Amino acid sequence: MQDNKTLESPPEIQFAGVSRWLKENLFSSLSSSILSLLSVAAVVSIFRAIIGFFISPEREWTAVTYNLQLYMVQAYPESDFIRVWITVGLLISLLGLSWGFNSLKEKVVIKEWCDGLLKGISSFLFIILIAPTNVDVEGTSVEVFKNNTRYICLAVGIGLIFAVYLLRKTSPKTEIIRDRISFLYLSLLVGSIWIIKVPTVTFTSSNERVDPDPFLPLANTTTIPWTIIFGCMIFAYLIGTFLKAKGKNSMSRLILSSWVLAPLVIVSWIYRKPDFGMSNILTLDIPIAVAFSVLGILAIRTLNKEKIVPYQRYITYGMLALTVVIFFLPVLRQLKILFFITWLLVSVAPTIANSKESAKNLSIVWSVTVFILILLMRGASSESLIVVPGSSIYGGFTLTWLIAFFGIAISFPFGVILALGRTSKLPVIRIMCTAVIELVRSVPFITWLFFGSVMLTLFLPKGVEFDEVLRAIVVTAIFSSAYLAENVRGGLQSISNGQFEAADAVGLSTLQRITLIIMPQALRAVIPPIVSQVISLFKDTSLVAIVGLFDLLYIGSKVIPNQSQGANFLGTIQENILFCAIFYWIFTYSFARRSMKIEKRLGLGER
Amino acid sequence: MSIIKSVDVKKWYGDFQALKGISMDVAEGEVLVIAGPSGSGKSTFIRCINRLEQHQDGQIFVDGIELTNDLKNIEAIRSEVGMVFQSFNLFPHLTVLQNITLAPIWVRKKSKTEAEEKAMELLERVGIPEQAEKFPGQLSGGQQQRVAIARALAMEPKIMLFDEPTSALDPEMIKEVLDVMKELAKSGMTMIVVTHEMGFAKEVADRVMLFDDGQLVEENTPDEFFNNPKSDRTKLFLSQIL
Ligand SMILES: Nc1ncnc2c1ncn2[C@@H]1O[C@H](COP(=O)(O)OP(=O)(O)O)[C@@H](O)[C@H]1O
Ligand SMILES: [Mg+2]
Repeated sequence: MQDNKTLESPPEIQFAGVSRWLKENLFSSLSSSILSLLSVAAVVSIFRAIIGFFISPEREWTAVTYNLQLYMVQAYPESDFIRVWITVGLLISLLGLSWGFNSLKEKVVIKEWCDGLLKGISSFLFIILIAPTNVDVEGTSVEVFKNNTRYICLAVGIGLIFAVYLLRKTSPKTEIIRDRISFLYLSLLVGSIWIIKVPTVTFTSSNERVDPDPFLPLANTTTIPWTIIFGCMIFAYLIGTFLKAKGKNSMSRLILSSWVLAPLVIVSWIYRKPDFGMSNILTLDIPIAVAFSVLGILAIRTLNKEKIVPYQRYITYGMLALTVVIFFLPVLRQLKILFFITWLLVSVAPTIANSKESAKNLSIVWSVTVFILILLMRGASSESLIVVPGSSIYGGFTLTWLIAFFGIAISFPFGVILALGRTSKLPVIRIMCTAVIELVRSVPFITWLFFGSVMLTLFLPKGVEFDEVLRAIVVTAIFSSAYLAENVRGGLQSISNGQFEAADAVGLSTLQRITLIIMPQALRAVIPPIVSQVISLFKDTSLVAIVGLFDLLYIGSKVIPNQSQGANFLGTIQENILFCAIFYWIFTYSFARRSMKIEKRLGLGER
Repeated sequence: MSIIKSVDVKKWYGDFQALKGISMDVAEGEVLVIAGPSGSGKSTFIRCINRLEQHQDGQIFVDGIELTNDLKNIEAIRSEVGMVFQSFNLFPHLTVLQNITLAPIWVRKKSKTEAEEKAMELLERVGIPEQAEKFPGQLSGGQQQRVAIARALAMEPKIMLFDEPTSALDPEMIKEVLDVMKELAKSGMTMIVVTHEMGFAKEVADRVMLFDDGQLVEENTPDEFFNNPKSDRTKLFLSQIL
């Protein structure tokens, strides 16, 4: 009997069931009926007001559409836009590649998909149904939504519902790969920027605004680049799935390194258009890189020689002393950094490169790193050929993204180190880390931004100058690491003593214990707070406006509403602020959704 | 030839003395059962043998190496001594197979395929090869403890320490773990087992010890221990648990 029961599937909610559901949940008694009706009325009137606000003729949405370029890249010169498109294309292709490579090829049954669609279409119908016909503009009622349009929309909506319902009925059990649905939506989006036409601000040859605004495709000048980029993404996705199918697991490491490398290449070479000078690379960089990679390979080879082993420690200390000395000498910045990573190499090589094969791998990694690093530094330290009068070359969403991304990326290793330091048994380290965390946390972010902007120069040695954007990134990273450290520390505390003991008992070293056993569990345990932290950091980047940077929100709240040349958008603050809000929401919400999925996937290993 | 030797080992937690001078030795291939009331220092003592705890006085030698603060010695000893805990302590974020292969790959520097082959062999030996791809959280207590035994064995230790391996298990799962341990004992492994399972002690132990209040009060063959104990403390202990 028990077995029979488990085979039975749960009863389906039919249309007859809907009225029952309504009855049970909304109209079970007189008071609850009144309450339900009242709240429905409230919801409808609120939505009507909001929709009316959006479609009122008073709203000048062209203030947003006309300024999209300003929003995205601020005053980046149009002649070099190809660099922006390469940046976007590179990142989106990389996204497609990792998507394809990591895809679980999850399947959805048509029935579920249709249920989701039905929900979406019904919300659309609801909005169409309740949208106001007239709105009040300065005392007079103006028609904004013709009833004819409403009927057409309703008819289309109902037709769609019918079509989806039919699909659901005919083949409810058929499965589709979820990625394909996503691509369907994306291609609808890309298609819509070709098809949908909106009023667009245009000017005659004598620089006068055409009135009324002609209808042009949504993305107007950017349809072709977006379409090409979408193509690249699909292509990258297919390559990703292909590599996965071939079982090239070493590729995952390569993809991960490209994620690390791509932003660095973008900021040093692509976006800022460095005036590098080929002769510098040939006569200076290449020889230095060759010298250091030879040096490193020699170190890897010799450090594990029987005779050298007792002196390993002294070599590491010697190298550290040398690095410190070099740091204070007036030599090329490149050399300082190379000496620093050589010290790192010397200190880890004995443990990592303990077999012939791993020594060989480490040598390859080392040489590649040295070459990439020196080229990146060449790009970053050369004069930029992009000139943006009065501000940084980064502005608008680019700036928001840049500060958020690098702020978070840099804060991760530092946050983890600070957390480990704070839980360390060595008092000096523990006190230092605690002091740093508490100091950083107890002063407002804005104060730190000011500090970075005005006071940091007083503390740095003469001649060392930081770009304003770099300063903002450094401050953001430091601020974020303190919070991250506390989150990670929470994760560390949640791990039972038994895990440490088991790791010790099987003979893992301290470093292995932390990286293989403790950290993976600690980080997993604190994904939710870390996600909140990342989200709030992303939004907090809007504070950098205070030190004179033009971020997305500053452009929306201050720059555009004060525009009076060409198109006049004076006072269009409501539209622009709303746009910014929606823009932030799209990014943070999709990030939150994404991380929820990841959490679920990782949750498999939990108790 | 003794593989473990302890000489007058003493250990304090703050002011509280948990071990009051333990001297004993274990021969290669011997199975030693340690019994005693809760809080008598059994766990403390066997945890000193692989340096999860540090003793403060006396000496411990494992396979001829003295346990000191020298990191090299500690690492050498830990890879020769396997340990099985009361609460399993499997790594919850790794699959069963990864749990077992982790240390062989990272500590013994074995290749992945070699380590996995060995791991499957061990899972076969403890009777759960079909669970290799699962996570510890998906297994029953008895299965988890058998994985923990396999994980310890994967390092090919000369000595296995068990700290009440069946105390956290439901009665019906105790047998499956004890069976694995019996098989291990018969294969000639040197084992120190802290347990209240007196049936196990009677069947496979070569020697039984009784700890009380941080002291070793009796050391005997299982026969003598159960039928003809030397000390009154043992008689009392046996009357309480049998
Ligand atoms: N980490 C510790 N700190 C303080 N006291 C401890 C600690 N671990 C054990 N003890 C004490 O040492 C004594 C012996 O403990 P233990 O070796 O666990 O006993 P057993 O395993 O025989 O039950 C107990 O009284 C216990 O309270
Ligand atoms: Mg105990």
